[in-house]
Amino acid sequence: MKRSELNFLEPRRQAQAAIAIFIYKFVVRILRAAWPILLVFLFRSNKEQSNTELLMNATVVIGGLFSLGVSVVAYFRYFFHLEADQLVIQKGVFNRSLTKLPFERIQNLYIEQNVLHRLLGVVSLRVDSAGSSGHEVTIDALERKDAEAMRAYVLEQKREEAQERAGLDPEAPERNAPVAQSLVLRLSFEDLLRIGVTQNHLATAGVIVGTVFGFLFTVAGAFEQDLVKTLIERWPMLQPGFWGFLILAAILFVVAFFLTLVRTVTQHYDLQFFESREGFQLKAGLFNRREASMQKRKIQLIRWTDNPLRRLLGLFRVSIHQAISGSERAAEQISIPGCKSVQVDDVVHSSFAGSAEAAFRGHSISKAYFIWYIRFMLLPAVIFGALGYFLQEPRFALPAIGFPVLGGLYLWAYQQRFRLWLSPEYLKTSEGVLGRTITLLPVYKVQSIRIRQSFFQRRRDLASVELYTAGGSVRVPFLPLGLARALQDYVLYRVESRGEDWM
Amino acid sequence: MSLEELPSVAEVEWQGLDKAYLRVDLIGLWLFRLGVLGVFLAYTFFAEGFPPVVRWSIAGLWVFLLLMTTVLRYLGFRIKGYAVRQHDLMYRRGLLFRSVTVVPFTRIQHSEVEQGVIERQFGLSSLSVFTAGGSQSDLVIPGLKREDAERIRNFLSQKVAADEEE
Repeated sequence: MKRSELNFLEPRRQAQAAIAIFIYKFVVRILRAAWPILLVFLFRSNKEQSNTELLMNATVVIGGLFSLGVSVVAYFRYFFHLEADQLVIQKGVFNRSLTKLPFERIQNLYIEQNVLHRLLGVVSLRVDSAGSSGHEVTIDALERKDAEAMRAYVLEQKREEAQERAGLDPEAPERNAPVAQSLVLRLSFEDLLRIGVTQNHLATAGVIVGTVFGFLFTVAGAFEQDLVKTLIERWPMLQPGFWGFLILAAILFVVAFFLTLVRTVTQHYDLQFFESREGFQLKAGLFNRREASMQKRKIQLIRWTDNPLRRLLGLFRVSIHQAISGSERAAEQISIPGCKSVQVDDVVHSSFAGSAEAAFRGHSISKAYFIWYIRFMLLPAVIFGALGYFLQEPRFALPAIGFPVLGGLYLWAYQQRFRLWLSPEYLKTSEGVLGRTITLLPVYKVQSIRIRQSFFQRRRDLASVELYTAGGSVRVPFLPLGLARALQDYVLYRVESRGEDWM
Repeated sequence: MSLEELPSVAEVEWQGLDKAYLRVDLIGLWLFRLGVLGVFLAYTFFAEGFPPVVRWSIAGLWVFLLLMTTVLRYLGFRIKGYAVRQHDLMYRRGLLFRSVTVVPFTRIQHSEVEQGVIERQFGLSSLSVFTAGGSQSDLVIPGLKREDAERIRNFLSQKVAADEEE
């Protein structure tokens, strides 16, 4: 990309569609904040309005119109452009703000499209700068070709900078060769259905229960009466009972099942995963089309997970973590829901040079893990047992015995199956009882390491180790103290002895 | 180089925190806990029909826990300490649950010296060290003399700048 071809070197506005997007954002914000009020408004309109109510309504309407005006003005006062080494954004209606984001601070640029963007034929460009959450920048509406050119330009500048720092000739011939991308993986509709079936439906059920209760509480609050009570009084068949509960649970499960299915399909629709020499790119989504790209040298750790259902199909969920701002924000990581074992190996080995040949040595964790945590399972057993005894309720024996037995089995299996694998350059953990989660990271990516010892562990010369990278962390519980310290010493030696670019 | 020859975290000379920090810590603890207790008592006095037995047993339990915490903080104070090594910064804490955190200089994004209201009365500061990504791996060393905190901060920023030059 030549500088002269770029049309964003002078301060300019966004595509005009941005006005529509600003207004849309505004309406969504209002609806989200005030929908109970609007509901009350709709259902009580037949009542006589008192003067105070009228005044309140007028205030709401005027406030609304005012904010709407502000949204429109905001568009005309939003300018952005690129300078030699930074992105500059001027914005603000009442308080003008000037944001300068040097390219070296920029971690990545994401092109995103929600339904509205697709209708208007524009994209939004989100600029992520690691380390400073709340300071990231989004340009709401751009022509796709502009957004792509901008992203390419910034990434190119960053690469040149990095090469100059590394002392390489920035005009090296290979750089000008077109970046060859190969399609690693594409999920068809059938693939997505299969993956959707193997998702965690219980999690969705939990979310549904939470949402429904939240909704009921909010509505009840707005109408100042107990909606559930009213409903039950009107329809006595809603009275809770054993069969009712069972039917409700069945319905909940079916709804949860279909919701996860639909969500999986829409979220990952037509997922395409590309690999080039420098990095990966992912495109997916039916309504909100998401494009994420990631440079290989920025990858901090890779994690892949299966569960019993997925194991039958030989599929893993793979997530590739890079440095992100704020806490673990899933949206910025590349995540592929259905990857075959061979493809996982490909991704891992091409991201982390030499990981295919790495000679790993395995270590188990101490059985004391079981001894420590089983105590927490015994506590509910004692409580239920005591309650059952005093209330003369033999049914309490079920949880009193169930907790320690099931919990104990889980703990025992977890301790038996946990493995820490170490090689000079890589660290890998494998954990899980029903499914298995494997995490792999290059040792030099570690940016902080913590050894924890409870009084229980100190008596037995054991320790837990936590390793943090800029893209996520790994925890290894109950290692022998000697091994934990040797690991800490080695990781620090490896990180400190060479000044690699780790992020 | 074999594993045995590596500099070991097991043989670190720990620098204790400034003695005044114990007082800062305990004053903060008591102010907060007694404040909560005060609000609770005020509320239950005005709320009708709150049984006094329940009120006083909750208050008693609260004070007992406060005394326990005070003892633990007092004993835990001598565990707290930091070490500035050749290539990294270490911090140790925890009486019952001990933790030792190490952040290599090369992985520090930036550092700050902060001073709370109570700390200021005793001329103490805290040093916060930030790494990239999440906040999990950030490190805070409290209870440093203002000058010490500034000195370490300057030392760190020199180190960080020197690493970027290389």
